[in-house]
Amino acid sequence: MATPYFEFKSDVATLLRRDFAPVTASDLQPNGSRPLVEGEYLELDTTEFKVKRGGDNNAGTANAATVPSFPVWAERGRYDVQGLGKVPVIYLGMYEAESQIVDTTGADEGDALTVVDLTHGSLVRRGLKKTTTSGDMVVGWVVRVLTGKLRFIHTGFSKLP
Amino acid sequence: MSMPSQAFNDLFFNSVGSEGGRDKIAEAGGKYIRDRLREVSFARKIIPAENISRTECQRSVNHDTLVKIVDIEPNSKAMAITFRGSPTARYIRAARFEIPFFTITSEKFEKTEQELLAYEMPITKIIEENSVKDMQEIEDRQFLLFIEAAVQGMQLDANSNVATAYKVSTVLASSVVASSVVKGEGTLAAGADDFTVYPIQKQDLIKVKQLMHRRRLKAVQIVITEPDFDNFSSWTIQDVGMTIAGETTVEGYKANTVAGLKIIRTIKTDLLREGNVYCFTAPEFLGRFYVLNQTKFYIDKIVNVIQWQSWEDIAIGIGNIASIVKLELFGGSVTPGATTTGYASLLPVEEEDLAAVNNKVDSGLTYPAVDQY
Repeated sequence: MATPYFEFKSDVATLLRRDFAPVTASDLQPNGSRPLVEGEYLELDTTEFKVKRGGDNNAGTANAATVPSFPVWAERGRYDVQGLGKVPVIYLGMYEAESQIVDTTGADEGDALTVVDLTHGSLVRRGLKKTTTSGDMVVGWVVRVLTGKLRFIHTGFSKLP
Repeated sequence: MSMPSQAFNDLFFNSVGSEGGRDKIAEAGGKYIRDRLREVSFARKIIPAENISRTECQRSVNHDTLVKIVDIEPNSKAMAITFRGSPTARYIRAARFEIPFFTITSEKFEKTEQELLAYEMPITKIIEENSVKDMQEIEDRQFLLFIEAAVQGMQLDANSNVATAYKVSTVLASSVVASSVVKGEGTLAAGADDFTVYPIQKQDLIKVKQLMHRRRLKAVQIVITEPDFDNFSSWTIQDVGMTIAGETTVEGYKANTVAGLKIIRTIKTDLLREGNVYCFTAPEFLGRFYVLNQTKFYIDKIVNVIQWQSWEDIAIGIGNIASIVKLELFGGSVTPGATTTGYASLLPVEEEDLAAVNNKVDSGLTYPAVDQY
């Protein structure tokens, strides 16, 4: 089994993990064109109580999140996810984690992280990147920069002033 | 042994407070008003549940979830040949499919031990018992989603993979193939593409059986809502004969079968919506229902807060989607991709919207209404 793209470094038991159906059901198909992987961030849809990728599926335009976004905690192709048509996200709670769905460009300890469109494994995914832009939704703070990974803490949601 | 409910609640939080004392406590018996009837799973009556162990399941190298792989019987045929002829060959193969496991859980219940003292009824025991039926309700909901998908899958296949609305106007115009669905006679006579539900007629059951029998399958049982079932009692002498018409007038329809089909009735009209009747073969032609872990119960006390939760791990799979046919007693279309406006009222409610309460006590609507003074 490959190393997961998203690994917790703090307790999972205290976190509220909630299942949501995706707006685009085909995102759960492991052999689809752009299947969801762990560590991708999803936001709530404004018309249905479901989740969706934000942005416009274009790594070139970034589309930083301005609303709370939640990391997927399910490896691609999980049978329970496929069977129920729901994906578990980390909904509430503070935690420390390492993610590979990141853009480490310019990142340093203490930097604010937001969710943007980025390229990972030749596909556009919603992942973490350093932000200094006012109004961006901060979902984490860098504690360590690694090769191809960021270690960060999530203490809640706030907009960068 | 019966005991006053207040003493039961006292015993409950005293036992929870002790190190090894988190045992189940016998029911005290309750003097409380019920809000609604809770029913056992109808899915389990259609496909009986089988216990299964981890060793019978298959894993993945990519994640930590389980499936059960089930075989479908291989195809074969015979032929007539001359004394000098020889048969065609068949390199045999048989299909198989995967049934994924998932968890069904109750809510996580919480209460402080002090607030438990305010209840005369054995509230924790009531919730524990109701949770089992609440989880079975979710089993039924998932089952309904799967069988509806099976029916619509057959319809899509029969209509050349084009989502074609199955509604009264397309049926009467013969512009849609009825592979796994039929409309009721009353619905067709009304001629409207809406979601008014018409009473089930005897001829409707004949039509739905014929759909199944044309596939060399045997229709065995139907699942029907209580409101739709009530219309059996309105069938006339021409439908049921004088004896049964007289009986149903006095006692309602009492038989367990109708038109040779076993009847499974349900009051869960927020799941199986009125106007939908499904017909099934015997389970061995239909699918499987596995229980990996029977209902488990967790309880804990942190300082003065008591928490408890129950869950089970199951798998439901429909392997032969031709083994389900459907009778629609409404005119509109619920075909995915070709629905009629208002179709959502004919599909199971969302999980978030289950557990609607009947009573209006919180709104102060009890009679006579008095204020404590």
